[in-house]
Amino acid sequence: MIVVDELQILISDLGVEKQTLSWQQNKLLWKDHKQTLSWDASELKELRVHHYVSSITLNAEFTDGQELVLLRGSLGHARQYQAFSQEVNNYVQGKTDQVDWEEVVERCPKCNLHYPDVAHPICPRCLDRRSLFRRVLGLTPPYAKQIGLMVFLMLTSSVIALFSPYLGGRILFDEVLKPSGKYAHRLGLVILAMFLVQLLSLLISIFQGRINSRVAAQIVFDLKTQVFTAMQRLSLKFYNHQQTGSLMTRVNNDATHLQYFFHDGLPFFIVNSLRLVGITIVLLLMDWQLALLVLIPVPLIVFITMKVRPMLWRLYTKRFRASSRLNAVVNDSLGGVRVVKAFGKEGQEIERFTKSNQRVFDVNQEVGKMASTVFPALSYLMSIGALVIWGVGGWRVLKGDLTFGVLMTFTGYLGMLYGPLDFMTRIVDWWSSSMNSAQRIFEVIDSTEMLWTPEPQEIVSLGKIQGNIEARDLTFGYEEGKPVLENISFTVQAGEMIGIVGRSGSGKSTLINLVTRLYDPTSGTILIDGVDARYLNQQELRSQVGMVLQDTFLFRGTIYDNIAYGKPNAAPDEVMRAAQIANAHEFISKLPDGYETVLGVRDINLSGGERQRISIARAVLHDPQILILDEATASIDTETEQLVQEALERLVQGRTTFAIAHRLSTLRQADRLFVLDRGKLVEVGSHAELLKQKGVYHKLFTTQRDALSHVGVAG
Amino acid sequence: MNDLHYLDVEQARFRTTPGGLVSLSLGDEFYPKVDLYLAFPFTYPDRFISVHEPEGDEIGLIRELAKLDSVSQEAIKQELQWRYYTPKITRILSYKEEFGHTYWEVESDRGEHEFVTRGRDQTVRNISERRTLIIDVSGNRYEITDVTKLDARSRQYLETLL
Repeated sequence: MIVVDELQILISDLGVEKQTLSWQQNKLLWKDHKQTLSWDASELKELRVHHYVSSITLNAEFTDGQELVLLRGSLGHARQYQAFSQEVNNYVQGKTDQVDWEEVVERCPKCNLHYPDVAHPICPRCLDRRSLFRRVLGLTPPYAKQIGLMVFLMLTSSVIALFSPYLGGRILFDEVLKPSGKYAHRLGLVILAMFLVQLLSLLISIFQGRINSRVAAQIVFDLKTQVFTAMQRLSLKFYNHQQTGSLMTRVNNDATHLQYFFHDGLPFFIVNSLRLVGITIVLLLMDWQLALLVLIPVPLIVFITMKVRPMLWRLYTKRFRASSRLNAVVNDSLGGVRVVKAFGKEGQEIERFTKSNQRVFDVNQEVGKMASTVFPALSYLMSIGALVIWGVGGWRVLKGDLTFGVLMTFTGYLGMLYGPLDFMTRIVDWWSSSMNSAQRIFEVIDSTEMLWTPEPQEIVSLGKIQGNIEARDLTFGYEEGKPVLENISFTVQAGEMIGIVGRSGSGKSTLINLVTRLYDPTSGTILIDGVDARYLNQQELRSQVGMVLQDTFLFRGTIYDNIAYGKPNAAPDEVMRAAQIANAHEFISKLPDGYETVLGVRDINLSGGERQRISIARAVLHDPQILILDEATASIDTETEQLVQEALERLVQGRTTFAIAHRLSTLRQADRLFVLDRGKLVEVGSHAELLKQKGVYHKLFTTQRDALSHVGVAG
Repeated sequence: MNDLHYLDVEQARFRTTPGGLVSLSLGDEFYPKVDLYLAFPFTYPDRFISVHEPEGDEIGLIRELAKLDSVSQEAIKQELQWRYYTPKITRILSYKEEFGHTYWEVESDRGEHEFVTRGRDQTVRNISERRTLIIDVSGNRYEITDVTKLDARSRQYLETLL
């Protein structure tokens, strides 16, 4: 007998004390600073992890029916708890002969930084940015020539830019305007030279900019193509994890970021570094004392910009957030305009808008005030630098040991020197954020969240599939530790129609996802015509699976294109025949543009039933051996339902079919029904058999019939 | 349809089991393990508690926790505290935005915590003008009950977030 009296609350990381749970030689051990408890494997039934709102528990269930909370932890421990429980359970149930459990690593072993996402143990601090940079540069070899040319042009333009102040200062004042100068009175010549230098510099920068635009755009184009290709290759599991929408924006944003990197950042960096070095050298050569004076304000300017920027940045973020909130409000109330009007809540919406608008106004003001203080102050600081030069330089000119031309040249370079400083202070931020973008993009490209693939020589080709399907002991969860399906086994004969029923959340769609191999089961096997589905040629398998879903997805394109999606070169009469079988031919041919009607354009409004029949026609033409109907009639009114139902009945003939439907009456054709309840297959049989059993199905059926007869619709 | 079903406070007895679970006896019926959910976790943390059979149907609602006997109250409070485990932040020790994530070190009524958050939208939930929930990458929650009561430094950290 287990003594559990003293184990009122067991805590792992949620409390003050530390407890540990371990497995040692056939025994489960629990320890805290006071005591150690242990249970023999034979006493254990299983360990289970329960997820709560913001904590998890690891509970032990014993063979005598007792249940005990062993550990309580924060959500970050879910993987760890689950992995441990799984191992122990496998051992207890005799599936493995030892408990072999790896600790989940939460922190970077090098710098001890907590991984942002424990599931993807990448430490952003220790991330090898240099090798990333090399990889980013690795995208450029196809454009090596252009890039070489670009760098050359940058060099040239930097050198030429150095001439301008020199011509306008030293040469103009000392050699031309002074009677004793080398080119005295030849004003026209020097003006012409200045004109030519500026023209040359303009031409070069236009040329360089044009090449640059092309190369940067091209590299990002390549990158986006790579990402999209990778995304098509990834299994659904990846999308489930990432949320498709945010994934797309992220990839797009990151790609744009990288485009800036190539287009603006990198050239800017090269040009500015060259200029800074060049100017410093020229200044030092001309007059080193004055040059040092010029450089004195530099650290101060750098310091102030670095101090002020975070403040400004915070304000900009605030403004960004405020205006996106305002946008959300506008979107919300315009999108829901029918509801707003129906409830007569226009006033309330105006108030909501005004409130958000007020906030944007406030923040805008704040930003404006700040910006109009900081920037003038900074340029004032820079002008002080100029004043110092004027003062000291002027004094020396008066004294006669400095020419006026050199002084003018100095002030000319001054602007060119302080300008790029602002950019240079940002360089670290800019560099690391670009590399982070690159990292995220490469993460998608490198992602291995793919379905398991066998060695090429192990792939089995069945040719035409017959459609016998067997499931052996399937278990599956989208997230670790939350199984959606547990231990499901069944056999389905070719051509049989199976209805899958159960309450929402019971795992119906998940089962379909496994049968069609959109996901691989966590454990267990699916056999198609006696072959493990994972070994089947994917292309072949897909070409023989067809689906009709509740939310029909029609692509942008003509009706013809949509029906012929699975068979792009189908002859017109094939497509029409498919449409005829799907009860769609009649309405399609009556449309002004017939089969060439473009979908996805606003003025074409097809009803739910019509869209559904197009998607049925698509499935008919595809001619699959295995057919999935997922709530195919759910969003259709009763009248058209008959047409759709008829079409489906024709479609189902001779194919192995799995149909999900909430409305049980739509499954009357099914040979057998599978009843799922909380992830388990609880009943199998025909409608009549299941009714006799008086089990879960009986309950579902009677509830639904009563509800329907209540509103006057025959079940 | 059916009306809401409130539990009879005279009959319902909640107890913490020796195993650390919550059981319920309701007249003749005994549930060795029940699940508890708050219908309004922020506004009414001690009212409208939904009592479920494990992974099953609702047994009923508790309208007001205070109406139950004191042992039941204690059992439920403790269980809810675990389920909705939310340390209340009293001070922000450090806040660093780096590499697209934010690294926090905070002091709360439960001790010191270190956690990582990502992206603003999933990170912060403003419950009211002053009250804020911060959600880390794993989904753990931390609450700031009154932003204005934090020290100036902590508030400055939060400025961009709120």
